[in-house]
Amino acid sequence: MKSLIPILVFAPTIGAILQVLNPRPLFCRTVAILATVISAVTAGILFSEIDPQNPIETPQFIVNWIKSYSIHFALEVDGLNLLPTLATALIFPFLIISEWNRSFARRGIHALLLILETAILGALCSVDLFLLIFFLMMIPVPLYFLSSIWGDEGREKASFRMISVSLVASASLFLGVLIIFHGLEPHTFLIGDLRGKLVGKTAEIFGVSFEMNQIAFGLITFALALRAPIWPVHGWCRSLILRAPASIGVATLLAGYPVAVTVFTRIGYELFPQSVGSHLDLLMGAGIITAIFGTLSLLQEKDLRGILVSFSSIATGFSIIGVGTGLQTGLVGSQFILFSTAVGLAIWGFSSEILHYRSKTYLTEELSGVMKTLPDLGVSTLIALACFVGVPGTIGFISYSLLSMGSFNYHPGIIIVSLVVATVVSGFLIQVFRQIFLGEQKTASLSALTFRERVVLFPLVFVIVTTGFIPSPLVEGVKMTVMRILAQGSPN
Amino acid sequence: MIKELILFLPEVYLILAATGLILGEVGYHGERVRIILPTALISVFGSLVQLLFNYTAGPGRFGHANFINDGFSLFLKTLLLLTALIGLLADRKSQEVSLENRTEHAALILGITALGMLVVSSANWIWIIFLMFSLNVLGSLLLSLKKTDRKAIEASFKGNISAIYSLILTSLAVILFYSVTHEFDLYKIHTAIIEKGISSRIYSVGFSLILIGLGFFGTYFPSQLWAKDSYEGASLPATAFASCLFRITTFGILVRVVVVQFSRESQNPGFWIPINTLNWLPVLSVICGLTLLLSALYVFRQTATRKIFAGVLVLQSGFYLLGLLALDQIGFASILLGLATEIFMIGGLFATLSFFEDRRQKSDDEISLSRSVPEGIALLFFLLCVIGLPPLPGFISKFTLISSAARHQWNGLALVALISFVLVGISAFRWVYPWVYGLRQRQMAFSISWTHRVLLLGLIFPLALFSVFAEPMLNWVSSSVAFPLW
Repeated sequence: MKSLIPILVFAPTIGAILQVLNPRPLFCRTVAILATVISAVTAGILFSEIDPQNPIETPQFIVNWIKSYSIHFALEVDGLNLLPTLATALIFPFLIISEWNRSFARRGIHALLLILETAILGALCSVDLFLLIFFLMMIPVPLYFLSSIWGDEGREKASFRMISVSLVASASLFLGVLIIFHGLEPHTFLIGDLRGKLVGKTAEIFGVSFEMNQIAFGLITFALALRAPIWPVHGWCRSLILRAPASIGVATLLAGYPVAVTVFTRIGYELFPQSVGSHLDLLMGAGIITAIFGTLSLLQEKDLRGILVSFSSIATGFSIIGVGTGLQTGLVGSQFILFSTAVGLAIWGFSSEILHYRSKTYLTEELSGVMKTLPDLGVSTLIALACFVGVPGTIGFISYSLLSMGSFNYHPGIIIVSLVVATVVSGFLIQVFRQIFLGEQKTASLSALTFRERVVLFPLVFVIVTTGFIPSPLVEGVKMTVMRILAQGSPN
Repeated sequence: MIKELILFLPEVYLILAATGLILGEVGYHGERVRIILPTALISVFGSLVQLLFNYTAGPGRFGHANFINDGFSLFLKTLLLLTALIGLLADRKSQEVSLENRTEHAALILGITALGMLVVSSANWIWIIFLMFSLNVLGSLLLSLKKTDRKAIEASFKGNISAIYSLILTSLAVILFYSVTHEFDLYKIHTAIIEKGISSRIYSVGFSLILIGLGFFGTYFPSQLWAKDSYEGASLPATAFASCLFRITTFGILVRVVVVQFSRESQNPGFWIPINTLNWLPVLSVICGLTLLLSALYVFRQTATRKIFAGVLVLQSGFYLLGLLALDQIGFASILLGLATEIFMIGGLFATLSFFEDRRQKSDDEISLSRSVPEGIALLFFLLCVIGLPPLPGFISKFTLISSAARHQWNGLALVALISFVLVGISAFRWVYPWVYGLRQRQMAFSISWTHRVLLLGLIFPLALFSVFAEPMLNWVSSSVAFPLW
């Protein structure tokens, strides 16, 4: 089964290369969708292979890549990356389908999305630090071209901001990883081999000595905070998504907080448990502020894509709160937040694009009474929103329940903050839903959903509901790995 | 005697071909233009094949023990021949090089490649090294061979002046060391310094003279100022060729001179330390840091294409100095890997730029990738490679160089290198935006040149192989550095 992991990661890139070899439109589209479906099916098989009772024997693929630098091609699917990996592999086929009929440079957008999927999945599954920076540094490149070619007015500034921030993040991560690599003898990039060996090590920069726990952990955390992004370094994400088609916005978000939070959890808890332990309050604070900021900005939103960004800020905040608990339930809840919000945001993004395609606007105040002509779209969106605010029967409910349990054990006050955020968000979303879907129909009659659009929406709705009713396989898949990691060096 | 002559054959082929081209040009000009390229290419291929035979000869000295045949020199010679090959092919496709100048271009490329090969293989007699090195002035003549362009002539003039400075400074160093040790042989100078001991003042002056003198063609601080203007003014193929050739020869000499004359082996095999008289590593680290930072800042504030790429070329030298600072086998191997990657990525980048710029001269329209998408993608490929972004091989070579510094706790320099990476990355993406933006506009496509595409594929293919098979490449490089003559 371990040989399936490279297929999961590289099937999309192989698809992109095949597109170059044969430029016929039908071939290109078929290859693109097949590549992402292969990746999604592989993710499903890997998920089914994870034995919840045996967190040690997870699918792992390790071969030497550059032996002289101890660089391994090491990929693993375990409880720490299972849910974001599943969400990414699941959503990308629908991203390809949503861009099925793009009139301008369709082959380009498909190829870039495929490369982006490889980079995201690679970053999620890497257990070698070199491979991790390799994939993390690769992510912004397709994103830059996606946004600067297919974006709207003002995309130049937005994509430039994104790439500048990403380059700073990459440099910070690179330096952090180099310091770790050269701080230990024998040198290695494998996270498993580095575990528990960084305590008490020091590194010098310009003659000033730092503890490895401070400098490397600080550099890596800074890089991931930029990439997530969390408040106050989140501006690039908003400006980019507001100037890109919603589908590219969804891809941008998938490349953002799910990857950053997953990588932080792995590196933080496996390599720097003491540092994480001493900064739990800080993490919790960052999570709360990011969630509150997301809520406040959500209240101002009048743009469908802006709502997408604010949602993602709230999701980032909540997932960081889960990581900051340092407790099993909180960490599992954090992973569930990543999964449920990613799927919910994808549905919202696709719905936004469907509405924009018909009404040529992303502004909520210009849309009204859509339910009358597009009831299926209305129901799908409603379920996505329900998932987002944690209504029972959706995976969102499970996520918030787990998170709340973990947070309560950490500090009961966090529950109050979460409840306030959830109430405000629910109220706003009901208002937005009423504005767009209910009420008097202002806009001209919108055409019914096509078969392709239904294919994009319904399976994701199905995932939200099914996992909402049967969450235990997912919970078990994540729980044992989290327990293993906490047992190795609990930050509490 | 015959064996020794055989070892010189790669250089002899090139010199004979260059002489033939010049004589042909003097005798008759016109139809012979057609045979310039095949003649030059045959000589380069011949040299490459001959190099393979030289590999089989094993390590040793030849030419009255003044020259060395070892893994390091053979690797550098191979790189120089590949640079010449790419230079000749890129020249052929560029419209900046007029038909009348083709012979001079080809002859100069072959000539200075041969000289460079002699330089990088010469190890014993220090004055031979520096004299040959100064003949790089011929390379700067190449920079002026552009269709009547004042900037190109200025570029060449600056190159000539730099070569003279370089010769003066390195000659002074040779005289200085000879006056103290009475030796020209690198190894004997080293022994004399160790056994007799020389004053740290003479030692440091000599070292500084060599370092600054080599810096003119190595294009590192403080001698790099001429290079940006010259590279900006010259034709694109000449710039790509000359910059790669200068760097290969400079870092070939630097590694050899620094290791043989100014260092001694440490207790760990494969590691060297500066000889006791003076620790020059901090000086080198300052030069490295300033080269990186100043050229990155230069690139950051430029908007003109040629200025940006001139700055990027200078920046590369800063990265190679990181490898030199490590003063060990892995550091030197990372320099060789970087140089090997560079000849393909710089060659490719300038060849694609040349493709677009030539065609822009014909039409007044804004230039963008939509005019020729495959060439545009190739341009982006080479550009991202030069910046050092994954998954392209430029990333692996940058990683090995920065890692060399970090391994010896030069973390501050690694930080400076990464800041340079960020600044140059931002500049490159700022520069590339108008090209990408143009994809949205329907523009008339440029005429396709299949031979140009074959050249680009020929440059992309080895780079892709470097990325995937990084380990065998590194092994080859490491084994080239690990030779018994040091």
